[in-house]
Amino acid sequence: MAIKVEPNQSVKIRVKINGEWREGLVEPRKLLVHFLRDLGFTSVHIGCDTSHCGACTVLMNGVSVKSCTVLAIQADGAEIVTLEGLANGKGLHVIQEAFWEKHAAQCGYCTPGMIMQTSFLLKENPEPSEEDIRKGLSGVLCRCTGYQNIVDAVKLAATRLRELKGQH
Amino acid sequence: MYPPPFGYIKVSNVGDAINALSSNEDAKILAGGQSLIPLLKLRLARPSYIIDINGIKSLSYIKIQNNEARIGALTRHHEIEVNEKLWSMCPSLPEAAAQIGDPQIRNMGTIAGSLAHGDPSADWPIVLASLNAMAVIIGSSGERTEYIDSLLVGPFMTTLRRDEIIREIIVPLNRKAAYVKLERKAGDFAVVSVAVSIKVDAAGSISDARVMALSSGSMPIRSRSAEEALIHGGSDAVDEAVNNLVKDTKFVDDIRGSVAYKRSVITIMARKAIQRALSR
Repeated sequence: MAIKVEPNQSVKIRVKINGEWREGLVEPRKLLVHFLRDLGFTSVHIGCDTSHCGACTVLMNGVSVKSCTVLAIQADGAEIVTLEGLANGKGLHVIQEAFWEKHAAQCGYCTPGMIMQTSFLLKENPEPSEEDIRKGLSGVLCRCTGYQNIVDAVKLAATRLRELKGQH
Repeated sequence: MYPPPFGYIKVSNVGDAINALSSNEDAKILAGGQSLIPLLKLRLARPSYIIDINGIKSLSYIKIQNNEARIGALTRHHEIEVNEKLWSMCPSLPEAAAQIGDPQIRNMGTIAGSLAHGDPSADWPIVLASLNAMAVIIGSSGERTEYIDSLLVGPFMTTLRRDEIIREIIVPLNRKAAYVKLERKAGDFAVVSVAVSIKVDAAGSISDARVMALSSGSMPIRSRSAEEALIHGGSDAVDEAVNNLVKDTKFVDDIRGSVAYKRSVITIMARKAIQRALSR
């Protein structure tokens, strides 16, 4: 059965955001980034509006996406993780700590996108080389060009996540 | 930026997608959306309805049998990039997938979406054409197949009719192939790129070759003279093929480089692609 929504008509969508089901009314043209920000998830930054910068990166059903290049209505029934949900309410996540320790932020605007993309990268590749990290983060732009500390932070986070995994 | 208003139809099978296309003028299929949604935001596209096919789970697969790979239309670039069977049987496919856009784009973008969008600068049209791949296309009047070579007829123009969608891509696995791309910056379209596939006979000589070249700002071209050089050439076959490819390629000055620059760097990319294909 096809579902049809007319232009300018709003429909209710349900999205599981950081483990909690949330509902909202959206027009088909509403972008996921706007839907998330309207609900208060303001870590999801809008940096470029042209799908280049990756500041709006979130996880959708376990993979990283640019939430400015997904329609909110496409996320109906999906699971989303934003930076707010990464640490699961318990202080900082290991990746956040590593970014903090390595001072991997200058202005900080790209940081949520960098951290969410790092979480996807390290899930896929727990032991990335420097080249893997640079390629893995190529979809998030830091216009302060502070990439070196970001790469160092990802290396540190990878080491710590492997250690944590080894303990269990 | 906000897209213009449009309606939305979510379908769960191919038949409903075709019906929605035929009954709504100016409707557009939404697959990965990594080209369509940026176009909507820039308001360069103003469809009446977006037909979301992401719910058609049966369109997402990579099957390898009978010496061919069948790739479902909705298969994401990333799924091709990390497919180990493809790396061993047809490495130019994951090699190309890994060079598309950036990781987030590859998580969403689909192989058939890229073909249907028809951007001549994209990686799939040149790579799939070099592998002599075909698209299986389905519409209200039935199913047809078309070689990727002839699917793209001009910039953003394909032979797809209003009520047709690509269902599957079929890639023959009887060739050694490689794809080499030069980017100006990470995640960009190619400045120049070269896709090569060859067949080697029992005696170890090249019995068939397909050589495609892309220079930004132009349509991808097939260099038959480069192919002939590889098939009939002697000890300097690679040099001759590279020279012929440069002669066949159309170069234009654009934001990605001057004619002189592209003409120079394409020789390096072509040599790499041929040598890499031969070594596989």
